[in-house]
This record gives sequence, structure tokens and C-alpha cells, in this order.
Amino acid sequence: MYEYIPLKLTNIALAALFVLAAGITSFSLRLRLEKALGIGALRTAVQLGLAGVAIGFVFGLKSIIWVLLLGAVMTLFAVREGVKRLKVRLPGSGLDVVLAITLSSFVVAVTVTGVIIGADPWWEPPVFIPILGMVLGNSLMGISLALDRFINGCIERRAEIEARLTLGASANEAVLPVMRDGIRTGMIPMINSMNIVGVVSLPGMMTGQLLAGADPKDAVMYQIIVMYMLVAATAMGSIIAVLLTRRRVFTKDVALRSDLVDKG
Amino acid sequence: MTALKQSPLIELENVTISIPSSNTRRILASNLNLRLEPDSIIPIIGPSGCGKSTLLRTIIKLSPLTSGNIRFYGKPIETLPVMDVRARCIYLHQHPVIFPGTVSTNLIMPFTFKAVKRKAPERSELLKILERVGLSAEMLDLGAVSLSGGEAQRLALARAMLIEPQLLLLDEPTASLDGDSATTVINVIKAWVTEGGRGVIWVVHEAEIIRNLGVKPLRMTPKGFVE
Repeated sequence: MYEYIPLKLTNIALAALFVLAAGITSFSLRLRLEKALGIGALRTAVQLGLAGVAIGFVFGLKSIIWVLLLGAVMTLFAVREGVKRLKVRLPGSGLDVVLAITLSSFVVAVTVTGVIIGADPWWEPPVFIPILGMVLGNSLMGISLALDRFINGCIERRAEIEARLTLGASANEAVLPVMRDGIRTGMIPMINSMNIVGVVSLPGMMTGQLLAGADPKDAVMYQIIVMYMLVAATAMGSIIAVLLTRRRVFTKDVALRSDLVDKG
Repeated sequence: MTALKQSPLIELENVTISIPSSNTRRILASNLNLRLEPDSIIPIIGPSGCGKSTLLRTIIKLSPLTSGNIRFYGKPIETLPVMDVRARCIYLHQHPVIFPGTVSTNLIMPFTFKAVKRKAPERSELLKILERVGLSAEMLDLGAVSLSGGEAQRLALARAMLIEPQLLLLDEPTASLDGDSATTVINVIKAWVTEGGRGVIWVVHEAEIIRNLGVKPLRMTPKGFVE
């Protein structure tokens, strides 16, 4: 059986030679990416280092309060990134992203750790924190794609939405095809990655487990659960985000907001 | 019922209309006064951008009323549920939206909406309405997106009439029609308006159509209507 190889800082330094090689290539081809590469490499080391310290600290404390606190900080960063990715923002969009990311990620992460994997307690830090991290990242991606498609759809398909309204449709009936389009856009990347996993790509979590010496059978089973939970999180996140934002694209008179009409 | 008959279909009193502009609203016209009695048509003319379409959009609450009063059957429009207003008052855009599917699915589509209380019309009724707007019966099962501009406009008119509104707000519906088709549409609407206390506000550009309607138009200016 393969045994886990512990790493030292010299291993990291050797790996950094790859970034150095990329930097030299960038310089010789005048790509002007040297600075970005340097900052990226540095941020990777610092951010992961800090995350490692924080996770190690929380793992050691074994306290639900600290686990939830770390979860809240991770959620906060996910929300910040999610809002930043929205090209068109409506007043209150930030709150929708907060609710969609928090609800979808926590419901899925708690169900997976507590019910599906059966960790005891459900917030067991080495299980819950990595699971929550993966769910947050994917939910965030689904939500920002779904909202972007939905809000832009409302602008681009204004004539169609207003035609339905003038024929007696309610706000929901008028915008339903655009909502479906948004939710589909949020979910499709995850569905696509389910189709190529194990054939074209080996996911990071499974690779990490294999490198850490886990039994391939266990690594595969964990990965299958992870893929299914990520589908659930992106679906739930996209649906919640689009449903919440739906209320914001209409005025109280069931007309499209004037700032959306103005952009169309 | 008597009270309803005495009320004008729609009444505008010192109405001001505006459109969004940056973070504020730009006034297009104010002091707009109008009274549409049952069985009548009011043509509205005016230069492009003077606010004719915005006025129609304001009546059906797609654009907010800046100030003044709009009364529908004597009741202030802001007190009426928006779905009630739109179920009885249909706005027909200059460039009608035709949905994917056949002509038949386009005609039936409004009846899938909860606010449209009427039962979906039978095939015979669909054929009758097509004939009325000058479209052939064979078109009923054709793909609607392949229709010409004029045919699409008549399909949109047929779709609106099937809902049996009391008021039609027409935004240059004959702009993309040839002479014969335009005459058909005018005759259809002139006949429709007299069938039980209906009314039409018709935004129009062509002098020929105004002559054909036989009603004196109102000219829209930034300071109100002038005859």
C-alpha cells in the first residue's frame, strides 16, 4: 500500500520553480504577466497558509461555535465574490446572494455531513469545513451565472415579457421562460462536469485523498457523494437566487423596473 | 350598470407622462386631457418621441403615472388591480411579439394565464377570428414566426380581440402593413368598436389612415392635446 509522503518547505520551493519558469516565458514572449504571476503565486501561498492555520486552529478546538464562525467567514468571502461577479446589480441583489449562498450551502453541507456521511457530531471540523468550502465555491459559481443570465434576460427579452404582461400574464407567468433560462445556465456547468469526471478529469478532492494515501475505493465514494452534493447546491442556490431576484425586477404595478427598461 | 354606461371608458385629467433618464425622469408631456366614450375611436398624432407610446404604456401601468388622474370606467386607475386593468385593456405594440409555436398556440396563449378568466376558444372560434382579420384558415397550424410583418400584426390583433377587452390601445398597428391589409385592419377595428361599448385609442402617423377613420385626431404636444 502506498504511504503518504509528508512535504517540507523545500518541496514547495521546488514547485515554485514552475511559476518561475512561467514567469521567464512570459518575460521572453513579452506577455507582461510576470507581475500577475508573482502576485498570484504569493497569494496562493499566503491565503492557503492562513487557511491552514485557521483550519488547524478550529480542528484543535473541536467547538461548534468556532466551526460555525469559520463557516460564516468563508460564506462572507463567497458572498463578496458572488456580488462582485454580477455585471448588472439591482438594489438588494447583495441580500439575495447572501440568502441563496447561505441557505443552499448550509442545508447541503449539514445534510451531507450529518446524514449521508454520518459524521458524529455533524460539525466534525475535518469533515464539515472542507465539505462547506466545496459547496460554497460551487454554489457561488451557479448563483452568479444564474443571476447574470436572468437579469440580462429581463433586459434583452423586455419586449417578450411586456407582451405577456399586456396579454394578462402575472409577473411570474411573464418572466417564467427567462427564470428557467437563468436556472439552467446556473446548473449546466455542474451537469457537464458530472459527465466528464473520472474520464477527462480527476477532481481535486479525490486526487488529494489519493495523494494522502487513502484507499482509491474510499476516495471514489467520497467523490461521488461530493459531485451529487455539488449538483444539489448549485441547483438550490440558482433557484433561490433567481426566485428572490424575480421580485426585484418588477415594480408594485407589475411592470419591469424602469432602470431595466432603460438599459434595454 | 347605468352608472357604468354613463362613465367614459377612459378619462385622462391633467396627466403628465415621463420616461427614465439617468437617475431621474424626463417629462415628455403634461396637461393631457382626454375622454373616450364607448363606441368611439380617438386617433392621436404627434412627432416621434413626443410620448404617444409612453401615454399608452402609462394607461396600462407599464410606465408609472407621473401626475394627474387616469380613470377607467370612472374609477381611478391606481385603485384598480393592475391585472383587472390589463384584462380589459389591451396594448398592441407597433412591432408585435410573436411567440414560438403555431398561429394557433399564439392565439390560445393568453388563456393559459390565470388572470384571463375566459375558457380557451374552440378551433372554430380561432378560424373565425383569423378570417375576420384577413388571414386564411390554413395559417392556423403554421409556424407563427414565419409570418410576414403584416401577417404578424394581424395575428397580434386577432390574439388581442379574442380576450374580449373593452379598450384597445393601438400603437401604429398599420405601420408595417400594405394598403389593402391596412384597410382590412381599419375596417375590422371600426366594426369591433361598435360591438358593445368598446373603445380604441389609436396612435397613428399616416394621413390616409386618419382620413379612413373619419375621426378628428388629437395632436400631442408637450403642453397637452390640441385638436
